[in-house]
Amino acid sequence: MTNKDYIITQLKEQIQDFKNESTEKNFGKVIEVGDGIAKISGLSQVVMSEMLEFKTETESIFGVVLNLEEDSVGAIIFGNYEKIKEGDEVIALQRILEVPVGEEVVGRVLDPLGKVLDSGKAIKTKNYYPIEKIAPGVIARQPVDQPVQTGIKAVDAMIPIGRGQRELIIGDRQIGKTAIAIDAIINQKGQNMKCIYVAIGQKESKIANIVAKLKETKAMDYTTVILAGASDPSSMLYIAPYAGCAMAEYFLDKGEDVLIIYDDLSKHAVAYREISLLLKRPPGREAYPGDVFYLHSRLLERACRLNEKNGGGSITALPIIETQAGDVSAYIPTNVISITDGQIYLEPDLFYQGVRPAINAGLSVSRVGSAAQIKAMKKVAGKMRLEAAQYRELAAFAQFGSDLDKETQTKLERGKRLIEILKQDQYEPVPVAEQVVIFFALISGLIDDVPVEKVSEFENSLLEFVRDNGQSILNNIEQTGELTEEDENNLKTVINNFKDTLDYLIN
Amino acid sequence: MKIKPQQYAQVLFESLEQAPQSDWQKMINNFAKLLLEHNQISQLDKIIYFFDKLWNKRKNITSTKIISAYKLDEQTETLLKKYLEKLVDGEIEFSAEVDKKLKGGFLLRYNDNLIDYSLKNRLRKLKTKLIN
Repeated sequence: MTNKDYIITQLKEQIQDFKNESTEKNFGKVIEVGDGIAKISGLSQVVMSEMLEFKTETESIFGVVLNLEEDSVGAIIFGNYEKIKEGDEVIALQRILEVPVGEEVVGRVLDPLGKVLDSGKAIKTKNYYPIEKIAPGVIARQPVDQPVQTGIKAVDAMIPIGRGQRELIIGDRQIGKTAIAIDAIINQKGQNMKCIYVAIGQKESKIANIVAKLKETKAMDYTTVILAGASDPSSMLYIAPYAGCAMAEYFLDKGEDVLIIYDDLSKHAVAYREISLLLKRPPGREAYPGDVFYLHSRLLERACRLNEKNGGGSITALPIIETQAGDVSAYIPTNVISITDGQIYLEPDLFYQGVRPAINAGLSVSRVGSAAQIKAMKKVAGKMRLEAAQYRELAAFAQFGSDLDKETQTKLERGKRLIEILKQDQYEPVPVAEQVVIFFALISGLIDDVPVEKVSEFENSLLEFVRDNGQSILNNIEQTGELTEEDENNLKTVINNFKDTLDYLIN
Repeated sequence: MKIKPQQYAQVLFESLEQAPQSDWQKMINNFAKLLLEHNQISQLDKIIYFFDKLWNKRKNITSTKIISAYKLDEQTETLLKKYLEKLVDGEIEFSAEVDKKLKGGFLLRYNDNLIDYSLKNRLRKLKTKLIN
């Protein structure tokens, strides 16, 4: 049979199956429209968050019901609301707002409704998920015990993140919040993790840069970017994180692990405030509506780690919050801090001192803690956290006096080297085994005789040396997740051998 | 505060309801004058729309509309009317309209419900089915 005949028979079959039936619909009329919001009369059978179709002269525009009032319905409009006129017909579509989900979305740049924004073909998926879904309950969950390796030394050692955790990244503008998130995505290669980056109210140029970087590092192979840019209407910004979460839930249901980044939730709250005020909901503190807490808590509660019975998948959420002049006690930052399982706090002072990533180890916490670290890391990082805390205490104290006893001086010197070691360039995540090697070198005092300004150079060449001469140790850590006594001794010898090759250490 | 067309309609309806029918002409004239005074004559279309709704609701009248691609013959029309009478209780007000864009079939509207049996809708459904 030729191709043509095949197509014709297929068509015939399809048409034969087609049922000739009428459809019953509920309709209404636009009373008022403006600022992305419409007020509609009629629609007596419509339900909350049902999709609506606005029939204009030229095209159909979609919207979602947000308010059910005594004699009218309030809805947000997705797309070009300028074309909607008073008196236009609105049809209730009898389905809740859904987004396409599936393997097809991986590697793409999409808008919150699943429309393609990159140069590729439109996506066609079998499945659609509702954007709002109640989070899994207690029975379906299990404790977080597997690590997400972000590849950022300061995070993996001091503020470990587990699969299924929600860790807030908080700080002022232009201080490296997105950089941490992007580094974490880049480091997920080969870690069995799908990534979703949701950009809410971001500049399109910034997103173009990020996508280019992700492509360059091959991270786009497992990443989806959802973009609701600064020029999109606030209705798009409002649904973006929920749409991203729905796409993540598809992989969760398949038992996979997902890392989702909401960049950033401050702009999301502002978009929701805009919608709420236009819908004439009463304003509260900072003019946010009464349900901003629920707005974020229901989103972040969907991050979870399911038990084996439910597939064993996980969604790890890294929400980002931008503070104004370091004010963490504003409304939205306090809300999100209280929802998440810890936060990574970035500080401008550190950033300008050249400590990058500018993570303030004192204010940053992870409530999951060392449960989400491999054993080898636990061994070295526990001691490191202690050294860092002692250093912070002493550093403030040491500014006053010059005469310090020897013990204090060694602690201070080691602390300085620790700060140096935690510095890291952007887009250069470090594998966990190599992190363990460096931290081990530090806590066993093997870096104490390296001058502070040479530490980062020392670190790089040490890693190179270990890759050549101690590959078996790296492999052992990678595979078993443990640092055995034998490996420790071997590592010490390797590091000492390396130090013998350095001319600045030979007196 | 600005008075909405809906409120004008409500006021007119309520005062007419309380007054005897002989006074209606006078009251309507007064109402028109009031609108003129308030500069609201432009809102008349909306006021009539809402008044119609109120009136129908009180008298239990449902207005229905049959929209078809071509003018319907009498037999089909009576059949459709009978069908509508089954769907809604109370009195029914019929109106008909011809809309070539439907290509074939008809639409039935009553209250805020719509029964779509147009060829246009069926073709659109077939199209989405063939695409997927």
